[in-house]
Amino acid sequence: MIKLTNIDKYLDKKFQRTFILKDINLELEQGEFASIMGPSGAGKSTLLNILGFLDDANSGEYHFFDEPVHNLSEKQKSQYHKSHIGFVFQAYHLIDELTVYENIEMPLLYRKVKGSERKGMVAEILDRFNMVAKKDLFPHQLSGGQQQLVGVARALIGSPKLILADEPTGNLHSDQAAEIMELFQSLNKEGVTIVQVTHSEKMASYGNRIIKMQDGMLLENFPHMAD
Amino acid sequence: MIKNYLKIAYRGFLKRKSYSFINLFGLSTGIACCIIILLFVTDELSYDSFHENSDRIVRVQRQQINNIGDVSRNAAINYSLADLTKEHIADVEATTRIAKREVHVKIEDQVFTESGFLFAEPSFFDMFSVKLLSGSTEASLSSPMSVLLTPKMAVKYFGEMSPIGQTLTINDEHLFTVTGIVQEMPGNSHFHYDFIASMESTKSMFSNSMFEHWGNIWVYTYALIRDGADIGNVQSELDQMISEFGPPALAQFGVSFYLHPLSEIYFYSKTNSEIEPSGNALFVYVFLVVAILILLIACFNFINLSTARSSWRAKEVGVRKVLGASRKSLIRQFLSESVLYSFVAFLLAILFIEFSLPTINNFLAKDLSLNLFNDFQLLAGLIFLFLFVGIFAGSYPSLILSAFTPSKALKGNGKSEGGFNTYLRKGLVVFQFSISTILILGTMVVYTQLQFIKNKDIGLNKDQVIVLKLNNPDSRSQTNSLKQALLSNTNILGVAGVSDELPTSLNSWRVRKPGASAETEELLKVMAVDPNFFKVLDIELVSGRNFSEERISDLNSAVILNQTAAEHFGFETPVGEQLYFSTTDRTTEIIGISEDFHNQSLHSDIIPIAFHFYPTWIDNLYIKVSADNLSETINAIENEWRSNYPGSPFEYSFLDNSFEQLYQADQKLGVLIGIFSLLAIVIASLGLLGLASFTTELRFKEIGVRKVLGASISDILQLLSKDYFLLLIISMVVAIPTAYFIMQSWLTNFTYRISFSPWLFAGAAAITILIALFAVSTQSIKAATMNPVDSLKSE
Repeated sequence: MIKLTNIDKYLDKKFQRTFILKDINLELEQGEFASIMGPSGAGKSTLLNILGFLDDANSGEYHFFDEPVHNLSEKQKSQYHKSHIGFVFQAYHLIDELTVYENIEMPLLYRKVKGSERKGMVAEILDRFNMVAKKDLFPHQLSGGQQQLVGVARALIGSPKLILADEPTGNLHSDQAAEIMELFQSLNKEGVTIVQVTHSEKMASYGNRIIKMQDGMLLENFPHMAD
Repeated sequence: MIKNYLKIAYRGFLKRKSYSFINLFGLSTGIACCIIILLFVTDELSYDSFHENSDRIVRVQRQQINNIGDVSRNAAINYSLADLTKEHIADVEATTRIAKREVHVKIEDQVFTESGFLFAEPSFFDMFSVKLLSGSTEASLSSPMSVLLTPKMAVKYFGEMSPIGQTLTINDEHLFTVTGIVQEMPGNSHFHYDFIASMESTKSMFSNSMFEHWGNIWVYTYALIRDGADIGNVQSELDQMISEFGPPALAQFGVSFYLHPLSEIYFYSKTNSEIEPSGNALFVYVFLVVAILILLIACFNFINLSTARSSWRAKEVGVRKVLGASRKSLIRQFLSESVLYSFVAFLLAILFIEFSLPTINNFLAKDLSLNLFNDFQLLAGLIFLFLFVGIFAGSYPSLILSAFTPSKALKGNGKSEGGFNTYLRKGLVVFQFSISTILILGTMVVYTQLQFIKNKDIGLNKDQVIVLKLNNPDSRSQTNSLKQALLSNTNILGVAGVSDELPTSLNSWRVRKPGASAETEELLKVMAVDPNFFKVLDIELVSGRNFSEERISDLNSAVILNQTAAEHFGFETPVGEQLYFSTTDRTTEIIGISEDFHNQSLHSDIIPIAFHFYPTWIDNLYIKVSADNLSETINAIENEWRSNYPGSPFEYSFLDNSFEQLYQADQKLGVLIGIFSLLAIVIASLGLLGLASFTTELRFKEIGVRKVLGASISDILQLLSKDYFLLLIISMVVAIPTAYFIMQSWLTNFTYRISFSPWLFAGAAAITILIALFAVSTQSIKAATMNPVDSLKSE
C-alpha cells in the first residue's frame, strides 16, 4: 500500500544541511496498525506528515497504492485527502466555530455528498460513538477525550483506507487514551490501515507493528504481534 | 458548502467582536462616503442629459474679440439670429429662444419677487423634454400674455383653486393669463423656471430695438441639429449665413457666433451671461479621487487586518486541507467571507446614507436620492462596487491564507508568516496615513486660504454696508427723497447710489483717446456712481477731485479712473486728460484717480474701471450704517422704502455677505474635504488600532517576560509604539511633498494667495501622528499595565 524509497528531508541553512529524515525505506501493507516511536526530534511527525501528503520529501520516492506521490499535483493530493486518508491530531484540531455535528460533517462537504445522505452518515457515526446528545455542542464545551472522539469520527466519516494519527492520546488521561486505542483496534480489524506516532509503549502495544526512529533514521523496523 | 462558509463567518464575526466591528465600520464608512460622492458626481455629470435629443441640441453663443485680443463670450445672443438660423441652415431642425427675468408678481394686494420667470416659444417643448401637465402644447406658448405655472407656483398663488384662466400682474403693468401647468425642470438642468410665459408677450413689453438690434443680447438660443449632421458643417454654414445676412458691424467689432453642445454647458460654457451658476469640473474630479482614496483606505484596513489575523485562521486552513479542501475551495471560502463582509457593510452604508442624505442635499443644494429600485443603473453600479470591494479586499488575504502548508498551519504558532506580509502591511499603513495626511493638509490649506481671502483688504470697506435694490427703475425720481429721508436717521452714516451690485463683473464701454484712430478703441469697464460712493466705501481719491452735484458738466463729461486704469492709459498726469467713449459718443475729462479695489473675487485681478456720474443708471443704494441697533435701522429703512415705493418689494443684502458668497463654492469644497479627511483618518486609525491590538496580542508573553525582568510601563509603551512611529514618519515624508504640489496648483486659482508656512505642515503632521499614536496606545497601555503573571501562565 505504501512504499517509501530513500526518502530524505532536510533544511538548508547557509553552508549546513540539517537532515530531519535520512534515507528512509519503509513499506506498509494494507491492514497494518503501525506505531512510530522514538525520542523528541527523531522525525516521527515529519515522517507521518510525508505519509499523509502534508509535507513533501526533498528526495526519494513515495508510492501510494502504486501511485507516485512525489509527482502528484496539489489537486490530486487533495483528492486523496478526501477519499483515502483520515487524520487524527494530538491537539484534536476541531474547528472552534463549528458544532460537533458540523465538524464531523465537514469532510463530506468537500466530497460533495448530498444533503440527505450526509445527514444519514453523520447520524450513523454519532450513534456509533455515543455522541448523539452532544452533537450541537461546540468543541470547548467537551472534555479532551470527547474532543478526540469527534476528531476520530471526523477522520472516519470519509471511510478512509488509511488513518494517520499524530500522538492521538498525547493530551488524554489513561482511561480516555485506552478508549481511543480500543476504537483504533476495532477499526483496524474492520480493515482500516492505521499509522500512529506515540511515545508510549502501552499505546504502541495496541498495534501490530513498531517502527523505531532516531535522528531521522529508522532504527528498527519490524512487524510485531501484540497478542 | 456555502452554508458552512457563512456559518463559520458568522460565528467568527461574533467571536471577535471588536475586530469585526473595526473591519465593518471602516468598510461601511468608506463605502458610504464613496456612494455619496458617486451620487454627487453622477448628478453633476448628468446635467442636461435627460432631454430626449440632448446629444443633438446646441446653444448658439456669441464671442467677441476686442482689439487687444481679450475674448469675451456670451451665452445670450440677439433675438433675430434664431429665425435666420432656422430659415437658412438646412441641418437645423428647430430653434427655440428663452429669456429669464426677475419680475414682481402681484396677486390681489400681495407682491412677490420671482426670479424664475422664463419667456419661451412653443418650440420649447420640441426641444426640451419637459411635459405640459395641463393645457395644450400649441396654445399655451403661442398667444401673447399667457403664462404656464409649475405645480409649486400654482399652489403658491392659487392654493387648491384651479389656476387655469386666472390672471397675474407682472411688474405692476402686464396682465398674464395662466394657460396651463408645466412640469418642473429636473435639478440637473442648466436652467430652471417657476413660470414660462410666451415669448410673444415680450413684444408688448420691450421696445422694438430689443428684437431688431444685433447689439441687444438677451435671449438664449438653442438649435436642434438634424440627426447625423456634422456639427462642424453646421458651424461653417452658420458663419457663412452671418456674413451674408448679419450686419457688417459684427465683423468690425470682432463678433462671431459658435455652437456649444448642450451637454457641455454646465461645466464648460464659461460665458459672461450664463443663466445659472456653472458647475466646476475640477470639483467633480477631486471628489472622484477622494472617493476612490477613501474606499482604498477602507479596503486596505480589511486586507491588513485579515492578513494580520491569519494565525487565527491557520488552524482551520490546516484542518480543511487535511480533510481534502483544495486551495481553490479555500480561496472561494475566504472570498465569499469578504464578499459577505462587503455586503453587510453595504447595507450599513445604505442605512447611513438614507439618514444623512437630507443634510447632505441641504448642504450641497442638490436633490440626490438613493432610489435603488427605480434606478437600474445605480443598482447595477452598487452591485458592481460591492463585489469589487469584497473581491479586492478579500483577494490578497485569501491567497495568503489558502497557501498555508497544513503541516505548518497545524503547528499553529501564528508567528510563522513570511516577511512579505509584514512589508505589505507596513506599506499599506504608510499609504493610508499618507493619504490621510494629504487630505488633512489640503483641508488646512483651503481653510487658511479662505480665511486669508475673507480678511484681505479688498480696497473698499464692505462692513456695515446695506445694499438696497432700487427695483423700480421708472420711479428713480423718488431716489433723492428716499436718500434724504434715510440720511436723517442718525444710525445711517452715508448713502451712495451705485449702478451695480458688487461684487460683479461690470459693463464695458468702448473707449479711446480723443484724436486717436478708431482702431485703437478698446473696452473699458464702467460703473455709474454718485459722489458719495467713494466716501461710503472708504475708497480714497489719490489725486484730482470727486464728482460734484453742483457741477452740471460732471454729469456728462467727467470721469474718475481707478489707478489701474490710469496706469493702463499711460498718461503722465492723468487728471485733466480726456477720454472719448464711443459707446456713448462723449468726450470726458478725467477729474480724479481713485484707489484700486476688487470688484470681483480674488480669483481674478484688479481691472481698469472708469466711474461716471450718471444718476439715471443708479440701480442700488449703498447704505452705510452704524454697527449699533442694526435691526432697528433696517426697520427704519424698510419703513422709508414702503412710504416712497408702496407696492415694491423691499430687497436688501449686506455687502460683506455678498463678497463672502463669492467663495461659497470654495468654502463647500473646504468643508467637504474636511469631513472626508476626518473620516479617512478615523478609518485609517481604526485599522491601526486593530493591527496594534493584534501585534500586542502576539507579544503578550514577551511583554510579560520583559516586565518580570524589570521593564517599566514607559519602556513597554516605547517598545510597542516604536514601529508605528517609524511608519508614520515615513507617511509624512511621502505626504508632505505630494500635498505641497497639489495644493500649490489649487492656489494658482487665486490671484491672491497664501504662501505655505512650515507650521501648517508641522501641524498636519502632528495631528496625524497624535491621532494614530492615540489609537496604538489604547492597546499598548493595556498591555503595559497588565499583571505579567497573566501573560506568563497563558501557555
